[in-house]
Amino acid sequence: MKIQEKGIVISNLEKARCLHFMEIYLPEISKQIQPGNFVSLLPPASSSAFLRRPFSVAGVGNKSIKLVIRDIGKGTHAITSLGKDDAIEVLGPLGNCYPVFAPDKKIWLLGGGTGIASLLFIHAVHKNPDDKILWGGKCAKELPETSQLPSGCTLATDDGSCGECGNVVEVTRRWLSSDKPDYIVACGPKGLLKGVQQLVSEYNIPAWISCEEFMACGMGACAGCAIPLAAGGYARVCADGPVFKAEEVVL
Amino acid sequence: MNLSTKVGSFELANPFVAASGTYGYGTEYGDLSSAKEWGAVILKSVSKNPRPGNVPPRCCEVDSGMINSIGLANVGLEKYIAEKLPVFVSANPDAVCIASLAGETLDEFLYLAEKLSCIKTIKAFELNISCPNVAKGGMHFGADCNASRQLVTEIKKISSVPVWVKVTPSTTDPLGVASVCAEAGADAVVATNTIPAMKIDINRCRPVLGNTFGGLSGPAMFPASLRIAYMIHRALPELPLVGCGGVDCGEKAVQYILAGCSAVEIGTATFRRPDTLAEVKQFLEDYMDRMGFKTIGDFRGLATR
Repeated sequence: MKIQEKGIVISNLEKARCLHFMEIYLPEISKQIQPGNFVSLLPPASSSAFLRRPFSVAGVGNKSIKLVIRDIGKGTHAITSLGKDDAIEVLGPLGNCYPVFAPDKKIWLLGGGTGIASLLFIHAVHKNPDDKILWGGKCAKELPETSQLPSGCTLATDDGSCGECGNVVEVTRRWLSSDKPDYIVACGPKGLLKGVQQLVSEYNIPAWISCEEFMACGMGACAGCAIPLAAGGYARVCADGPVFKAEEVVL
Repeated sequence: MNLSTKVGSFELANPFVAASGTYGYGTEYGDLSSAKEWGAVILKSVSKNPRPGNVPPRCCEVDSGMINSIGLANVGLEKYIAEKLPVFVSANPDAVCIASLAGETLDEFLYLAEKLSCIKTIKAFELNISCPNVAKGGMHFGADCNASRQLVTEIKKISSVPVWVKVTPSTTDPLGVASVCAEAGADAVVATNTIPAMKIDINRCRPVLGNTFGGLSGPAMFPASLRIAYMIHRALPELPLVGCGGVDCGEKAVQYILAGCSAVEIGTATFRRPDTLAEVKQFLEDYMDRMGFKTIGDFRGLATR
């Protein structure tokens, strides 16, 4: 059930340039949220942002949810400027979720930018020590220190300034020369997701991707967040997604 | 205090109507904006055949609102009747439902009106002759007085369902269109719809929307739309009028009523706050109490006199 709830900011840590890890007290929404779901935040009144901002959830805490937000425009700037005990209005849970993966299956979680959020949630829930997270960015400044991340997390940068050198798709391809997961899950910019589509098709690996699109309502009413389907027509990212089988959508 | 209102002979429990295109097929918001709380809800425009809609991106934010170019994406009449209406009715047995009709041609409008006239769930039609995002029909119809007159005349011949005509603000003569619709027997005019608009992404050096242009909605629309409602009521005080455009709070809804509207549509604001209706209703009650108004009729059109 979708809930409109007033949240209270528990913490807001800028772990890399403009990249905020926020935890928000939301006793009702946190009870229901599943990996893959997103919430939409109403930017504070101090901002002139009109529409809500959607964010995939990165995990749950004690009656709280965790978010990863990049300060990239007036809405996200106002949200990431909030401090401890500040209030924010939240709608959720929204959208579909990832399938429940069997505990013995090995999953590679491939993220770019804030796309890492829902992958951290899967990682925390799935708990298979053989799972791997690969988190890519342009350079070291865009990503947190590895020490701030869960074990099993590898960083990759386009310029090699930290972690593996190369983008997420290139690094995954290298890994695939000596290893293969049961499933791949990816979330990030369109270029990354396109590369992953290509890769999982070549290696025949079942994969899910979480997509992003401009949204107005976030609840399936306006059809504003359309994404083309391989079978023809469109799906709504907010209500039919954001999670799709990798081969299902045209990016 | 009595919030009930009449749009012509059509009675509503309160003056607030969920605007077409912002309320899906009436079930998407669940309890966050329940259909039974509205005076009426207008479902997404339906066309004769399914429409996939326009190329994405279909919406973007602008100062005080948003631009959309959905392109009348909808399931088409057959699925609308067979699937969407039954789901709506079972979820909202007490809600008042209005169908928004979107034809590309006069014949398509007549086809839709004929098929939907025998569906008891539908209490009125809103003719969408003001959508800016389609190549045929929509605004091209609504900016043409003769086409508008013929459309309303022909639909009134074949259907006894009340007809609301949603007029475009994008004509030099919205009053002229409203006048011909009234002469042709329209039961109400809805003023207004979105206006064509655009946004350019300065990093990609391209228009943001896949369709380049879209329709501007939200608070940015309010003053312009209010003026048109006011002009129509002043010239045609007997014509039942519904305000639409930019209402995101009770104060703006009251302005539409003072301009002569019997009902007020709310749309884009629900995207931002699904509980907008509750706030707007509360404001209206407090306002009427403070001003000593017992009914909507006590102050409807007061600002035009």
